[in-house]
Amino acid sequence: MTTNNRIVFENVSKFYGEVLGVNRVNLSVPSGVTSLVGPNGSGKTTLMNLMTGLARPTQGSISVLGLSVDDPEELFRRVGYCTQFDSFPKGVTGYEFVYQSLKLRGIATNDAHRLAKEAIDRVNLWEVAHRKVAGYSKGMRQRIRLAQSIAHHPTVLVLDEPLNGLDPMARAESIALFEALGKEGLHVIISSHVLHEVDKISDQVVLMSYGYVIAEGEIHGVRNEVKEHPMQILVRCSQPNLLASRLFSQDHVVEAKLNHDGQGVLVRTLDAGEFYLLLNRVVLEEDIALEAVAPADDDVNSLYQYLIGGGGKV
Amino acid sequence: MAVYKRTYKTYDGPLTPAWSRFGVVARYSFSTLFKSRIFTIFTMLCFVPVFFAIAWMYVIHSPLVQQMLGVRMGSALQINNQWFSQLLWAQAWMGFMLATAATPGMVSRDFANHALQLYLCRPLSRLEYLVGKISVIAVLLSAVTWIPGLLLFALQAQLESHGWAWDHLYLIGSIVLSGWLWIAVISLLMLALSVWVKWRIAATGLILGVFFLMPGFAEAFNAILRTKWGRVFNLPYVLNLIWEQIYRVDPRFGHINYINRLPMWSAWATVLTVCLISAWLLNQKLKAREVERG
Amino acid sequence: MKQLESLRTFLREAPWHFWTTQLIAVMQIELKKNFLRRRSIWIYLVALAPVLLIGAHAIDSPMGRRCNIEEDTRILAGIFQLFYLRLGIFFGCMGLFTWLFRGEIVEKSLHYYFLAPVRRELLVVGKYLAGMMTAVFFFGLSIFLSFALMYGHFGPAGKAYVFSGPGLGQLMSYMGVTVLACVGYGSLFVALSLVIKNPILPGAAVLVWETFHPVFPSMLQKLSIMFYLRQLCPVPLQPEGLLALFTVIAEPVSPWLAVPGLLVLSTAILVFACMRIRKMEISYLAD
Repeated sequence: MTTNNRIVFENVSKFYGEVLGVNRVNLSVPSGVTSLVGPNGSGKTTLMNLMTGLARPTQGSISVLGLSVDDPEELFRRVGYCTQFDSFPKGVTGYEFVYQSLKLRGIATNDAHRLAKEAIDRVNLWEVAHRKVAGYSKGMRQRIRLAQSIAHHPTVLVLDEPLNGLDPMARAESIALFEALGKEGLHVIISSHVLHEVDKISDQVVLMSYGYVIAEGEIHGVRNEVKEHPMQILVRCSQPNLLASRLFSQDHVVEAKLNHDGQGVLVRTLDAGEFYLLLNRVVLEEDIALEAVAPADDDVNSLYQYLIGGGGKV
Repeated sequence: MAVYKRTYKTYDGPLTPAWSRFGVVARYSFSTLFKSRIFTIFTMLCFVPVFFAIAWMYVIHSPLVQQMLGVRMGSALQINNQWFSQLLWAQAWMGFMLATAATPGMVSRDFANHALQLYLCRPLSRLEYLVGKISVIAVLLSAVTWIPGLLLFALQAQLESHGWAWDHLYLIGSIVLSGWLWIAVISLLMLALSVWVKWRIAATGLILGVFFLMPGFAEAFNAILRTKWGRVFNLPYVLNLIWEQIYRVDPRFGHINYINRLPMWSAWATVLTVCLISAWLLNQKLKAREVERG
Repeated sequence: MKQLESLRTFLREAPWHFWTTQLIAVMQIELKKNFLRRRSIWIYLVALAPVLLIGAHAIDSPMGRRCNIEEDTRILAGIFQLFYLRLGIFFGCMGLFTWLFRGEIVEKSLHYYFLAPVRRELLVVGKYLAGMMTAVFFFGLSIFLSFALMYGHFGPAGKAYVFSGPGLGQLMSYMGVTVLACVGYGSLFVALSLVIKNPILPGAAVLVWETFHPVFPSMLQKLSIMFYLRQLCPVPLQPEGLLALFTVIAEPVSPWLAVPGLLVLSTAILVFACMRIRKMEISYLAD
C-alpha cells in the first residue's frame, strides 16, 4: 500500500498547552469520501488543521499524498480546505474572494477569472457573486468558502462542518457535490454533525472522542467490529409471526420484535452471518415471501451511539 | 385533549441590591486582568518608586543611616510639596501605563465577542456597566497614586516634628484631588477611545497616540505658527500645569518652562473639554447593537 | 562548502518567476487594504497634520514677510526630527505594520493566506513591501508637501534656496531618511506583531528606547534605528536644554556606514520574522 495516494497520520499528538487536541492518532485515509464524526471538542477540527499545516503536531508526522505539511507550496496546489471560521477579508465581494485566492496561487489572470466563475457556478452563487460577502447570509458565506476551496481543482478537499447554516435545498446540493467529487477520485474529508446526511455519501468513517480515534474504516466493517451491540436487521415479509418464532429459538438471536404495522420483524442478532444463513433456510422451508432485508443500525448514527454514546448531540 | 404539565418556574429567590450590580462587571474584569502574570508583575512594579520614597524618608530622618552612608541631606532633598508633586506625577504615569494595558482589553473584548448585548439585556444599565468598568480603572489608579500618597504623607508627618504636618495639611487635599483628577481624565478618555475603535490593539495605539503623538503635534503647532496655544493639544502638559497648581509648586521650580505657560483657565478648560468629549463618545458608542458592514 | 553549493543550487533552481507572480498578488491585495480601509484615515491625518500647519503658516506669512529662510529651515529640521521621525513615522509604521498580521488575526482571515501555496516567508516579504510602499507614500508625500510649502511661500528667495542653494539636497536627504525610517520601523513592527499578541505596549517600550538611546553605551546605541537616522538628517538641531540630550550626536557615523548599518539591522529583524512565521499556527482567540 503506497502512501503517495493516502493521507497518513503516524502517531500524531497535539496538545494546546495542557489541553489535549488529539492523541496518538494513526490513520491512513484513502480516496473517496471520509467522514470525521465525534462530539464537540473531540478533535475533528484539530485533525483537519494538522493535515493542512494550520496546526503543528506536538509529536508524530503527517503526510498528505506523500507531501509534507511543512511545504505549503506543493501541498496547497493539491489541497483545498474549507474551514469553519466564518470570517473573510474585509470588504471583498464573493467573486474577489475566490479570484484573489486563485491569484495567490500564481494562476494567470484569465485562468483565474475562468476558474473563479466555474467554482462559484458550481455552488450556485453566481447571481450574487459581485455583492460584498459581509452582506451574504450564513448559507451563502458557507457556499462561497466552499467555492474558494474547490476553485483550484484540488485532489484533497477538507471540509469542516460544511453543512452548517445551509437550508435543506443547499444542503442537498452540497451533499450531491461532495458525492460527485468523491466519485471523481478526490479525497473528500468531511466533519459533520448531520450524521444521517453524511452517512449517505461516506465511504469511510473516522469516529473520534476526547482526542482519540476510536474507530475507522468502512462503515459496514466498523459495525461488524462492534460485537457488544447486537446487529439490528429489519426483515419485511409475508408471515412475520412465523419468522419471529423460528428465529427466536436460535442462540445468536437476542430479540425479535414484530413491526407495529405487522409487515415485518426487527431482529437483534450477535452473529449476522449465521442469521442470514438461517433466514435463507427458514424462508425456503416456510415459503415466506420476502420484501426486504436491511441492516437497521449499519450507519454512522448508530456507530456514534454505540461507540461514543448518546451524550453527544447529533 | 392535550395536557400540558407546567413544570417550569422562574427564579423567585433573593436578589442582590440593584445598586451593587455594577460590582459584578468590576469583579470579572479584575479577575480577567490578574489572570495575566505580566500584568500582575507590572502592577507590583508600580509600587517600586513608593518603596524608594519610604527608604528616602527613612534616610532623611535617620542621622545614623546618613552617617553610615556618608551623605549629608541638603535642602534640595527635603520632603515638601514639590517632592510629593514629583513623586505622585511619576506614580500617575505608572498608573497610566497600567490603565493602558488594562482598559482596551476590558472593553473591546466585550464588543468583539458581542458580550455587551448580553450585559445590557440583564437588568444592568449602560451607566452601571460604565461605572463597573471605571471602578476597575479607579481602583487600579487609586492604588498607585493617592492611596500611597496619603500613606507617605502620614509616614512623613509621623517622622517629622515641629508642626510639619500642620504646615503641609493642604497636601492631603492636593494628593486626593490630583489623584482623582488623573483618574477621571484617564478613565473617561481611555474608555471612550476603547469603545470608539473596538479593537484592543488599535485602542492601545490610539491612547498612546493621544498622550505621545499629540504633544509632538502641539509643539510643531507652536513652532510653525509661533504661538503657545498649540499646547491645548498637549494633554500631559495641561495636566502637569494643573498638577503643579494643586500642589502649590512655585512655577519657577516646576517641571514646566516658566516662560510662555498657558493660563490656568485654558488648562482647566482643556481638561473639561476632553472629559466632555469622552463622555459624549461613550454615550454615542456604548450601545448594545451589532453593525455588520457590507 | 557543501552548504554553499546547496544554496547555490537552490538559488539557481528556485522558481523565481512564480514567486514574483505571487509576491505581486500579495502586494496588490495588501496595498488595496492599506490605502482604502477606514482604519487608514488616522495615518492620513498624522501625515497631513504638519502640511496643514505649514500651509497655514504660508498663508499667514505670504512671501516670507514675518519669517526668514534660516529660521524656517531650522523649524522644518525640528519638525522632521522631532515630529516626523520620532512620532509620526514611528506611530504610522506601528499602526500599518502591526496591522499586517495582527489585523488578519483579529479579523480571522490569516488562514486564507496560510492555505494558499505561498511560502510563508514570501508572505512576510510581500506584506512588508506593501506596508513600506504605503508608509513611504504617506510620509514621503507629506514631507515633500511640507518642504514645498515651507519654501514656496518665500517666492523667488525660496526658489533660489531650493534650486541654487542647499534646499534640494536637504529635500533628498529628508526623503531618503523617511524611506530608511519606514524600512527600519516597518521591519521592527512586523517582527513584533508576529511575536506578541498586543505589540503596542512593547511598541511603547521601543519608543522609550528610541528616545533615550543617546544616553546608553555606544554598543547599545547601535541597536537603535534612530541612531542611524539622526546621523543622516541634513540640518542638525540646536542643542537646547534637556532636548540636547536627544539631539546632539556624540559619536558621528559616516552615512556610508549608517545606511548599510540600518539595512543590515532591518534585514536581520525581517529574517527573524520569517523564521517566526514558519512556526506560526492558526489560533484565533478573542483579541
